[in-house]
Amino acid sequence: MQRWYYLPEDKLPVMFNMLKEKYAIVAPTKNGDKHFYTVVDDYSKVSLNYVRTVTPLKKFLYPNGEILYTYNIKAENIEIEYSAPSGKYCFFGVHPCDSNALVVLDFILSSTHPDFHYTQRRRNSFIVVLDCKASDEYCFCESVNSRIPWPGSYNIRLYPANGGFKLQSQGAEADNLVSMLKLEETDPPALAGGINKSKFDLPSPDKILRLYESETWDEWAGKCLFCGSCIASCPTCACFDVRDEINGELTSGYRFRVYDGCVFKGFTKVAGGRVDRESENERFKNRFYHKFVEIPSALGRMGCTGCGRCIAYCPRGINPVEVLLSLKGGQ
Amino acid sequence: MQEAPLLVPRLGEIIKIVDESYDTKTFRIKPADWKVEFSPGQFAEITVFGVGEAPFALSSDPQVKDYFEVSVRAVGSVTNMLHKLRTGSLVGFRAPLGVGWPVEQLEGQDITMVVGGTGIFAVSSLIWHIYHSRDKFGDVKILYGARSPDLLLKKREFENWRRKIEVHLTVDTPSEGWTGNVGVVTKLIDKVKPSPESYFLVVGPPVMMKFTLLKLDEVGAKPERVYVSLERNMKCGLGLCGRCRLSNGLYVCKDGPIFRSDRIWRCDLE
Repeated sequence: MQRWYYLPEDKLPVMFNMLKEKYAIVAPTKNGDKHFYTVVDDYSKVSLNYVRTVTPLKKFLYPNGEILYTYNIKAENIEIEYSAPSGKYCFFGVHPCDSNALVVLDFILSSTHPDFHYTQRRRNSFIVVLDCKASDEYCFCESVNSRIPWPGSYNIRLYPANGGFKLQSQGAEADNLVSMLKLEETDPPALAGGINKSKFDLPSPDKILRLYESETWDEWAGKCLFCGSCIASCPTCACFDVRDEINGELTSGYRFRVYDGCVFKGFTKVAGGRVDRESENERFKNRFYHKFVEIPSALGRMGCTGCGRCIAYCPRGINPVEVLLSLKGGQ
Repeated sequence: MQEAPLLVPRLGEIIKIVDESYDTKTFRIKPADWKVEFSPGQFAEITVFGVGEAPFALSSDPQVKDYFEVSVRAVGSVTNMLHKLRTGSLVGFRAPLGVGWPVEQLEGQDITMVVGGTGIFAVSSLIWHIYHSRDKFGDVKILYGARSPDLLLKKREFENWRRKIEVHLTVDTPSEGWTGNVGVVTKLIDKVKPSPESYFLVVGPPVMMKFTLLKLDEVGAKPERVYVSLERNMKCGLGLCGRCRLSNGLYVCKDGPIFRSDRIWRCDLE
């Protein structure tokens, strides 16, 4: 049985300061009319009244341009050096779409062959999820069952209630923190349904699979500009390219990885020039089949958490819900 | 002690280089600190420091534990730079990666390999394995085609293999003195008439694989007994980077590169 506690509003900064002892705190901050996840050292900089930040959490756990190792070429040997990733993050006040996305990233980056850097940072992270007070026309978490934090996506979750928060902890570290805050037990929050403007019944993975040859894909691919905004802003997109750098003397360098994306033509290009995923149709739908068929079939949860960034930043306003609902024909 | 990250290569020294054709060489690599252990069909990612990394089938005899070999056609940046290296040069490697041929399942069975061009490198470790345990396998045939006689690769190995394994060669364009078969490798299937009950192992350029599978459908081969080896851009070899994802959600690097033909979609073979 999960226990719930009441966290008065004035104790939230207290919790922030306790977490600050151990973690670099990443929280939404306001800059102009937009919110960004930023490393903050002072609670006063945190701005929890937001719908979504510009970019998701992957920039901390899985940073673009990460150096995988360095090498020094000596006369008789090559020295390879790598180090355990730095950064012990507490993600403070993140919404369920972004914390659930970490469960998807865990599946992609930490299951069969765990990625060294991501897996360690993730293991060292602490997550405080805050339920949303509001949503906008792009939010669709409820259509992908991502409004409620998934198991493994949080250490503490908070629901705004009676001027403060109803709180629930998961794991020994979070339990301990809660006991130090000396909170009173309370009843579970009434989970407010219907926060999104609308909720849609998306087709099942099986149904989408049978729609692979649907001609509707061509229409959407014709609309897409293949700019990659959806991928850059997506909390669960994690595809990468690996590159090498060497100094002018050809004696030392490093290998690093950068974000890449399956909508780009060069993504599957092999030496000699062959491109395996060449047509716009295939490049457009690869993301959909990864997120809405492959991941649900293996993980039991969608590979998309409904944060709405891809719609907000798409120059053509392509909405994945609309895409999935429009598919016709197939087998 | 933390285990080394899977994306970090080990070091190996090139101890021998053999010319296979005008644009293809086999590199024998002696690892600094790894006792070679792989199953036939698995692959390695080879790093040329400062240039990059690329995947190659482990093409040597898997019984040999002191070194391994990769055979490389110079077509891109990593492969061209590899060709410029000499014996004594150090390279990085990550191996073994991927899932190889279903060796145990093949035991006691008839096997027909249908191979085109550099595809021979993806089956040569398996051929060595069969060669060493010849009585564990049934009737084994290799049908191997290349564009021209000088592009038939692994020539010295074939001299050995022929002693225990039936070999049929064909070329698209014969040169002077060529007395063997002429034509695409699918024509050899018509000529050799392997049993439809045989296991078929198909590896070669995409267009050759496509037509071979169509031919195998025609001669009544059983899809669950047909295996293919696929080639893709693979940056990580671990199922992380996303490049080699097939349309049905399998990854060539971690679920393959060897696949049972009925477990992948034909559109991924074109």
